[in-house]
Amino acid sequence: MTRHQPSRRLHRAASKLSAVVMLFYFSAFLLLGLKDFAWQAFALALAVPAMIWLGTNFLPRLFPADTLLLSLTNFLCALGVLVLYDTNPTYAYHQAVYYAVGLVAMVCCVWGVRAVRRWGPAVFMLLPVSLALLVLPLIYGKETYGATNWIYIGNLSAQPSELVKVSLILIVSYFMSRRLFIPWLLFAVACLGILMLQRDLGTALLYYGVTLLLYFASSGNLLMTGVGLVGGAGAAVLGYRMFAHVKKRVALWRNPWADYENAGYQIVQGLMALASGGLIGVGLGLGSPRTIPVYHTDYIFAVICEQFGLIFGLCVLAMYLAILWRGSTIAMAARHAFHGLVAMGATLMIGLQTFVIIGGVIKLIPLTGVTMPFVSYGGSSLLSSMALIGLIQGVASINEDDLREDLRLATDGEEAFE
Amino acid sequence: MKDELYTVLALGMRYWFTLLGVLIVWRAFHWLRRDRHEKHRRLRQLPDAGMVGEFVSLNDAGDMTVDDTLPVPREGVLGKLYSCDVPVLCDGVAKYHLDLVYEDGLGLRVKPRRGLTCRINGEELTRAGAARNGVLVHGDVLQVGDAALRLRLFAGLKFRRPARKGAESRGRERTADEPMTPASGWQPSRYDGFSDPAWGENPADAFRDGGEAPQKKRKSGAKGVKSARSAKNSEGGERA
Repeated sequence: MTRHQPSRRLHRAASKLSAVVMLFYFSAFLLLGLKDFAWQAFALALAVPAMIWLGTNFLPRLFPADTLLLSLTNFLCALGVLVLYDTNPTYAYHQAVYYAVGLVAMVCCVWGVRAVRRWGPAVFMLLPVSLALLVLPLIYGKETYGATNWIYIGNLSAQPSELVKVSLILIVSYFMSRRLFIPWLLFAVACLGILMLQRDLGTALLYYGVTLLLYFASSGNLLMTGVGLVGGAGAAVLGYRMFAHVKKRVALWRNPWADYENAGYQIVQGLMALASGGLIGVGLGLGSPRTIPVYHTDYIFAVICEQFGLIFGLCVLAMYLAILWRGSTIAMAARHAFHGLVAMGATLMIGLQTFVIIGGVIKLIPLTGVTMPFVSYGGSSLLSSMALIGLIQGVASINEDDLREDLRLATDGEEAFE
Repeated sequence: MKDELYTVLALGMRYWFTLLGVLIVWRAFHWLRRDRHEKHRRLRQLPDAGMVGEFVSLNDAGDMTVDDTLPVPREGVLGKLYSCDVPVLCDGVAKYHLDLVYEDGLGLRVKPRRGLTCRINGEELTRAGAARNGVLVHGDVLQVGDAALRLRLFAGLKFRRPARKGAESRGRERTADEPMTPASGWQPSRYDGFSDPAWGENPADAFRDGGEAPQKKRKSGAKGVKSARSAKNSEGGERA
């Protein structure tokens, strides 16, 4: 039996990918630096590639990491910093700090998934904490862009629903892996009810979609999943009839040009940015991304397409697809139902969120108030996205341990009977 | 830098960034593909990856014949459907009959689904009693419906044999590669209601005096695969 050794070809593939990514950011920040001869841009031209190199080569030494996931995550996070620096350097500095905090959150999630053996107590502790976090904005929050989903503590603000995404996946996966239907259903319904009260319909859509897809992944029951889909569609119709702002959003989605100077301004500006970028973009540092309202969060994809072009925009989409592919593979290779569902849930959350926001920007679906994972400005969003990647990484590292254990058993078995 | 000069530079760099973007995507998918090949290569070297042992059929029941083997995963469901992790296609087995979870250092924990039962070494096991008594170790016999299955754990896995009446080894940690003879402290599992002329009144008798297992034509079950590890285990049993 051949002992498994890390493949040199894979190691070369990893090095080549990070080299290209480092070259991209070095040249991008250098170009931005030449615009105003700002020393900060030159510093970032060195710091960002160094961080990418460290993240891809050093972090895997601390914990068994899936290096491809790390590389793609680092690329997308750095893309957010780059685009934000181009439009508003203050946002870029904040985003860099959030990225560092997000890395810590990712490592904590990896360690948590590996270290925790009995998830029962942890889940029963997370349940009330998650519900309490979700309720906080209703008590202490302020309305922002039509939804009461933010809490403000001094100069700091946070969006609890972003953080509860992680605990939702853990709680739902735990109960589903034990085939306990009622607890996860009650929890999901409670979360959805609170989000509806907050009028955060975008996050409610994510919670509902991920829970339904996880149910299908755990049970394979197509009939009940179909019932859930129909129920979700019915709830959407009910929401359309009940909430005036939902009617407005749908009307704008159908024809933003009808009121393009007021309510439809954001959608129109986004579409014009997408179109003006063409295939290869208007050029980094050129164009007028700041004419798009909320360009740094909801419409950052439009800014990317304007600056770098549609081909690059498709490349960004392809990277999300690669993350989804990788996450699904890791989930299906998991030996325990709970780990598989956690990895699948985290992957689905990232995928669904990406679909919802990019679909809204390109007017495929009505716009909702969710952010683009890893790229959009925002501490809560980046933190939760990195935590989700941490969950996937944790399951990937457990899979590697299990394979090594199989190899050991196979080798011991041979030796026992020689 | 002058705006005109910067504009020219930025317009030229568009092609560079687009090229790099495409290159990054190509490299990422190339890596995905290579990793998939690498994983398949590793799994080909480890045909029993993810499995902790196998069930060996001790009787003819339904589609199963004697000596059919069914791989046992670390975690799974035993039932009548082909989609189950351990499909047992015979009468008396429900679609999803029981859940199996291998616990390191303990053995294979068995939990029948609601309203269903099984037998471990002749003793009936219900869902309520599974927490206390529902652990299978190497050599134990599981009776589900008309099927009788003996568990073989792969060599190197540790388990704790539960104390039985009159047993010399009381809860001693064993490994699955220890020979199954009284000299080594192993006690045959005694149970009622099962006998196979080929194996004697108690299948363990075949190994008690160092005898050989009866030669039966080996067939693979619905998912059974004759693996290198299980072949080594059976040789170990015969040698004992």
